[in-house]
Amino acid sequence: MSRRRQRSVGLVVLLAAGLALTLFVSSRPAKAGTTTYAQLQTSNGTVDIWQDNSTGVLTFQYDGAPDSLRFDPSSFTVTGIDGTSVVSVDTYPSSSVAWSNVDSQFGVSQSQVTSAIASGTSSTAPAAALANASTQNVTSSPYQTAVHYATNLTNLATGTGLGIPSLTYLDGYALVDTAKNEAYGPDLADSESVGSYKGSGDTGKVANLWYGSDGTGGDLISVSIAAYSSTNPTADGSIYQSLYNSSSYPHYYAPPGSTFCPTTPASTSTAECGVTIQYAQTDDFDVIFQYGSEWVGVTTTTAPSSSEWDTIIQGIVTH
Amino acid sequence: VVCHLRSRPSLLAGAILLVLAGMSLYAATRASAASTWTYSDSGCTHREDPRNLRFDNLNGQAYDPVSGQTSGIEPRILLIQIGSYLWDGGLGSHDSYVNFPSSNGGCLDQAGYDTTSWSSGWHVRYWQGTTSFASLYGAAHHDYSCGTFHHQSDWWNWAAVKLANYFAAGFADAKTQKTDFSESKIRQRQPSWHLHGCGHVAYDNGLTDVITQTVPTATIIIAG
Repeated sequence: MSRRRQRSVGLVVLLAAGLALTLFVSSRPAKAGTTTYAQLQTSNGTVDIWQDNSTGVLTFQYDGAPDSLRFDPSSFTVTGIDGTSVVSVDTYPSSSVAWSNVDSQFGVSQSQVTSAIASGTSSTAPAAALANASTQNVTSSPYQTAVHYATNLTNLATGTGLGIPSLTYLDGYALVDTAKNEAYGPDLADSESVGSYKGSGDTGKVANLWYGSDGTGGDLISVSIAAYSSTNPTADGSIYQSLYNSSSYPHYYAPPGSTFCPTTPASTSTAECGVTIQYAQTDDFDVIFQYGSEWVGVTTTTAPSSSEWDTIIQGIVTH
Repeated sequence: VVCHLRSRPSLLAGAILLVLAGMSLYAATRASAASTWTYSDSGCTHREDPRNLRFDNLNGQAYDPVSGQTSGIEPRILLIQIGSYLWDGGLGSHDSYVNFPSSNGGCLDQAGYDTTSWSSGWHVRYWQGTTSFASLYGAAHHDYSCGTFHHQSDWWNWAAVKLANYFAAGFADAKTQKTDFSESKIRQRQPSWHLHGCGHVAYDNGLTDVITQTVPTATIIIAG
């Protein structure tokens, strides 16, 4: 073989090897440190999916939509994101509950997502991957967190450190979910501003109990329990106390003119029997009252009559 | 004696009247708590979203840059047009109601909306009374998909802040290129947390963003 022929063969071999390498690289699944991208067609539209290969975190977005959802399968945490701003962070009690919520929102099951990602392509990370709640300005970009405990009231009490009534039914409605919630953002009206507190609003820990279902998974009665904080005027408990003490809202006894025996978070002593519960009605759907050392805000879907409010409030304070 | 006999029934009747008046006052007070929620039904009985926006002193005009003509517009049209510069292109908007005083229309359906929402996105509805335009109302939220072809609302506070910021700092008057609105916050509801479909929590901090027009006339451009 002449040297010229040898060079030609060598060039062909090199070109073939280069082509093979290119084909291999372009068709291989994305590896650790990169992002894999896939699409799924659902009845609600096309869903874009990215997976961070190093962490396993998934990002879902309806194709072209401004908002997205980031899901960490290892911590059952779902983060709602607007552009690059975190708006909500929900942690669910199990992988199945978290996947169920992702599925019902995007119409994609865990197996569909796993399969799509397995045959996905290498991609750059989506903009939502940059979202980081701890560094965002909450005055202009508020966000909220939720740690869901399903109907486990013991875990809710432990998680919040608040007094929680042992109440699995309220006014005939079953307890459907509970959560420890906290929100950050502009939580005060201009007239309520206290120095630098305005705009740095932290609601403090709030224990929420939701009763009944409206047929879509929404609650019919929500019960929020929060503590007053002498150092945080934006805490929900501080706002509840302030609104309760305001003469702007009518106050009533539940039930009018009679007393009963509440079980308080601090004590179950019958020495506290004979207590009358007074509540402030701030709206057709909303009331506030004190429960031991905590404050309780109740909101309903339809406006209760006065006797229904009595039933709801007694149900809470006697458990 | 006659006087005595006549006075006792009078006292009794007076007492009954006092009790009845007290009961009426109690009932009236209980029923008078004004709600700043919106309603999902035309009877204004079922709570829907927080009415978290109020627009004061609106007075607008449309400017046609081709003809150079201006024409007066309804306040609700001013809102819809400015809001569309921020949120535009969505699918539509369900009926939703606000309970105005009876002298200003009572329970009224929305007067317009802006949205980006197809499967998910941003959405604001506006309401305008029938006789007084001193204050118009808005309710802003984020839509998220939950089940096939169903939407639910969340991120109420974030949506109101975005829209209020746009009116106060994002929109520039079509003629002056300056700001036409200021923004402040008032408390109208207690903080509340709601469980919505697909495990979402919707938080209402109870605040209403009040957007006040600070110029006599706000001008928007209309296509020629």
